[in-house]
Amino acid sequence: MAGIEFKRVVKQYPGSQPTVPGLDLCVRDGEFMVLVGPSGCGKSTTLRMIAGLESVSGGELWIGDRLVNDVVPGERDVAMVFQNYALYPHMTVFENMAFGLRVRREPEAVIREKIERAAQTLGLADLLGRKPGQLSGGQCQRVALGRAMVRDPQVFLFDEPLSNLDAELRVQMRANIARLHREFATTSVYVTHDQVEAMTLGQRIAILNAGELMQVGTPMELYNDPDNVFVAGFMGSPPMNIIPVRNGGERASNRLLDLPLAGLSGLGGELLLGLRPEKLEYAAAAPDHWPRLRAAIEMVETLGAEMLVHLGVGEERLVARLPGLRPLAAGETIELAFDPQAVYLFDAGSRQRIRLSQPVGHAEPVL
Amino acid sequence: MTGTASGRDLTDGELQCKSPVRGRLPAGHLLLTVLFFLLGLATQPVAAQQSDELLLWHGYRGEERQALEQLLEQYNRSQRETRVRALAVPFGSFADKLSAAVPRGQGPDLFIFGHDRIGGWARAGNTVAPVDDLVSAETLRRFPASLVEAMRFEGRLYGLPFNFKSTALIYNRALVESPPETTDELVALARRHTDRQRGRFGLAYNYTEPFFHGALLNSFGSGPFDRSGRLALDSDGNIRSLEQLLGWVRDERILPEEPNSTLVTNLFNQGRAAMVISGPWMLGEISPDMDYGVAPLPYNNTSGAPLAPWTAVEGIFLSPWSQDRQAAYGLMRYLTGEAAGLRMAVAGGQLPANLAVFSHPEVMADASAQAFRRQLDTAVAIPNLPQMTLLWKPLENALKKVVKGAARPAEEMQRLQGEVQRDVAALELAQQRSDTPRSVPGWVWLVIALCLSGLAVELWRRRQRIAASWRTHRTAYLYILPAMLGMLLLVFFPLLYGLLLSFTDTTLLNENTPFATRWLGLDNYASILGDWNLWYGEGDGRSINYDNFYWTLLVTIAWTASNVILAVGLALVLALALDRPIFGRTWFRVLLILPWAIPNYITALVWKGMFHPQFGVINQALQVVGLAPVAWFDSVGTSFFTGLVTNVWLSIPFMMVVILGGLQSIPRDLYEAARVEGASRWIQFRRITLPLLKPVLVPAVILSVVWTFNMFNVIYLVSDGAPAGANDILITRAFRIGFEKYQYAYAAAYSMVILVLLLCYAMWQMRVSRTLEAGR
Repeated sequence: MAGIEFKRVVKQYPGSQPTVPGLDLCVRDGEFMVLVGPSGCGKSTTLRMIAGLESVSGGELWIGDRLVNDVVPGERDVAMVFQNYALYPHMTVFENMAFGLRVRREPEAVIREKIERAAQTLGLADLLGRKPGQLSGGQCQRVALGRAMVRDPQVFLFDEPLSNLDAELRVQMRANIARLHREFATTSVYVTHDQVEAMTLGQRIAILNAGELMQVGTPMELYNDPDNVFVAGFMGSPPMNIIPVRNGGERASNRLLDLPLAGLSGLGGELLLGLRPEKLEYAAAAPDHWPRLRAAIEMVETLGAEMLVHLGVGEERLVARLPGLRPLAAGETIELAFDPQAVYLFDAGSRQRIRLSQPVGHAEPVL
Repeated sequence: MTGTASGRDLTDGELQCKSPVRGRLPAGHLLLTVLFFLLGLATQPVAAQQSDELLLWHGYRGEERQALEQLLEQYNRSQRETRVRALAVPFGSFADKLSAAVPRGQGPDLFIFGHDRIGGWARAGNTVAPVDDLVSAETLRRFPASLVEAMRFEGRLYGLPFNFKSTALIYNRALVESPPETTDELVALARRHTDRQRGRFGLAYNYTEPFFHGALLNSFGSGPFDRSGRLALDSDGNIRSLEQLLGWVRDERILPEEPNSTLVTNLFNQGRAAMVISGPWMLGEISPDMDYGVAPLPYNNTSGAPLAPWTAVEGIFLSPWSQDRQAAYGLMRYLTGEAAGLRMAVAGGQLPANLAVFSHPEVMADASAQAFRRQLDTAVAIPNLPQMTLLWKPLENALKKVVKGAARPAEEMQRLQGEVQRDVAALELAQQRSDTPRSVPGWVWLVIALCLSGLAVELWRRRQRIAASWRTHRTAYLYILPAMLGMLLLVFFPLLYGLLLSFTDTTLLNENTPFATRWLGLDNYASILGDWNLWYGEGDGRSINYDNFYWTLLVTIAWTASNVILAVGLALVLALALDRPIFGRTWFRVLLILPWAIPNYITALVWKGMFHPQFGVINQALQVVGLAPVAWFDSVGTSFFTGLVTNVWLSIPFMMVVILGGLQSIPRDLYEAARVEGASRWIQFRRITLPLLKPVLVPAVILSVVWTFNMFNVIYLVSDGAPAGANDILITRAFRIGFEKYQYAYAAAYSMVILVLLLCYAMWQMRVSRTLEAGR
């Protein structure tokens, strides 16, 4: 097993902007790293560079203690699971799993043993004689996993492996993959655009946007301490409310709220205020010192135990996640309150996090 | 109505054809009647018997046709009793139309055609009527005796001569001041004008075609038949004529290699052939700025007699069914008269058989016409014996063999004598057999009855399902009805007819006799499959018998296998190359598909031209890089190669498109998965590309095998089976048996054997692909 290190790695196709302008990233040995980001962010390209399916245009890419920029895919000792499974349709499940081993001329007895073990683990034992055309999507994906497992590689690569499965199967497969990683602890890189998958699977998550690395960290680090608006907006469902506010020196305010804050004087006139929907509560039950806001309900999404309430005042929009205690209707005006310590501040220009020396909530709320 | 040469009663034949509702009607005749009823639908408006007018069929085009039609118009105006209508029949199908229509009481009253078929028609009966009783001695005096003689067969006169055609010497006045008087002068003159390096020749003509070789052949006075009409190809004179030709080709080297009409005309028009031997038909193709002269062929010093070309006489023939013989004869007299002849000569560019025309001032001024007229004095009419039609192709093959040095004249003519004698004997035997009335053996009827009752039982058993299906899918059945009818008429009927024909001994000479008298049973099949004469001669002198069925089968299999392997292999390589994003990929694709857009016979002819040993681009390219030119069509291997190259060229586009489609349907991520697993290019190709291409490759290979197995065009047009039929495949051999040897039934049996072979192949292939299917 081995870690992976990107040192200023560039990927550029001839005649176009760089897809990955210069990536620094370290995947630790045995770690399960999830690359996540919107489509076109370069996450698949990054993964394919590790596999060797895309060449590296600049910088250095290391797997373990090997510089692999010019190593062909077959010699990198990585195994990959594809979105469309990429099973060989003319071969049986057994032959599919044996393909890579036979290419490496492993003895048939060893191959058989490895495949039988993997099939046992993945519940494929009864399917070894079938062809991919006779399998369901979930079975195909398990075969694809098995094919990667029997290789016993240094690195597992997953390219959106669950996106073709239905929701229920996806949950099941997620659990499967997590269990396998616990068992084998092989370095894994997993690409997805689904933040739930990223949160549940990744030991660490790397968030990419337009080829740039936004932030790397454990799921909770990213959730609790986002470095920028992008990460803040990407993690969590529904995403964090980002509200433009004016910097009044001692207070940040707009038509919705007016928040007294210390230490704003050195900052620009326009700020972005971040507030997670789950941090908003009914004003009636909230501590007195919490700032309050009144707004009209535009829409209510009822989810049973809780509801997502969309609020609007003029141009501003907010989403609050409230317990489903009483029915709310569009048009009603409600009063909500929030913990001032739960507020994040971002620079409106650079969209980077502003970390105030004094915790936000210590100022006296006035409203 | 007079009887025919074969002595059969005409009224009987007439009854059979005109009243199909007779008690005991053979199935063959029923089929024939259906076929000719259908053919008749197409020709109904021009069938003569229903009207009072005279119908005349001819094969003229252009000026000649105009001249003839003007004459007929004038004739219609000049008298009121008869009206004449002319129908121009495409020349290529003229003979077939005549022998299909006239013996069955249809077709024209009169027709204009070459005289060399007279013997065959007279033997077969019911095609042409003798006119001795109509023609007066005075009318006959219009024509030279030789032309009248050409119209006679076994003592009877069939029709009047209309025009004549023979070859003469056409020379380039810029190179040749006065035409040679003797062959010695001719050769000396030709040698001066020959410069093979620059592609110039003193003399050019189509010397491997028997019609053109006639000039030399006849000057030795022997000809293909002896005085009593027996075949005498190996006569001393004939052998000497070949030796003389061989001298001109190989010792004097004054003639271009592998001549054909186009080559001869081109050489002459480019000033690269000082003299050519050709006929009046070439004059229209000589470029207008060429100053040329025509002269009778010179005296042959070797034989001691003038060169004597063949004359083909166009006669006006009378159908035995014509109702008003006097009126028809009136038209014959009119057309062979002096005034009509003059118009045919001046406006139509013809050489009228009525020689008085040549003394007319307008024709006197035409030096070319006068030269051809003088040539007539030494020319010899093509024998009109039925055997003559069997002679052309074998004689041509023999000529080609001799001038290429593959056989010595004497040996080759002896071999040819034997070969043609056998062919003639086969035809005569068949004819003799059909003279004795016979009936189709009972077991045949039993088989047919069993088949029909089997079919009826099957239909009856499924009657409910059929009825239900009809009720639910009535509209669908109506929609496919036209296609079903088309299939029935164009596929199943000919197939059944061919099958029946293959059990007979039908030939050119007895095709009009009742079906039962031609019944032979399985003899044709026995003769084809039991033909173990694999060799000619003995010991060291022995050579492969290329006419043998098994040799032809071997060639066909080798031909098919090599073509399919090469075409699929190359197409695969090209498709793999074009499947990756290389520069100009779209253009390459278009370029590679282009050969497909060109009709394959044109491509075949282009390749034939490129393989010409002297003027072909391939040999010229070989010489440029310092290699020796190859006589492509002289040996079995190289000749096979010419066909192979042409057909592979023709097959690649289709194969490539199919394979490209297959390649593009293979998901890219399979290759990526394989690469990650460490598979090399070769393993990816072997283990992924090939197996996944199988679903498109298998049907493509099946199709390709069937097409190539029966690829008539390429073989016939490029190598033409050269040398000596060694490279014929089964289908071209069947064609030659049918249309060069005129053994129709034998050819039909041959075709049935081909059909069975392909059927076996298809069944085997289906089994194989089914197992493939099951394994997927």
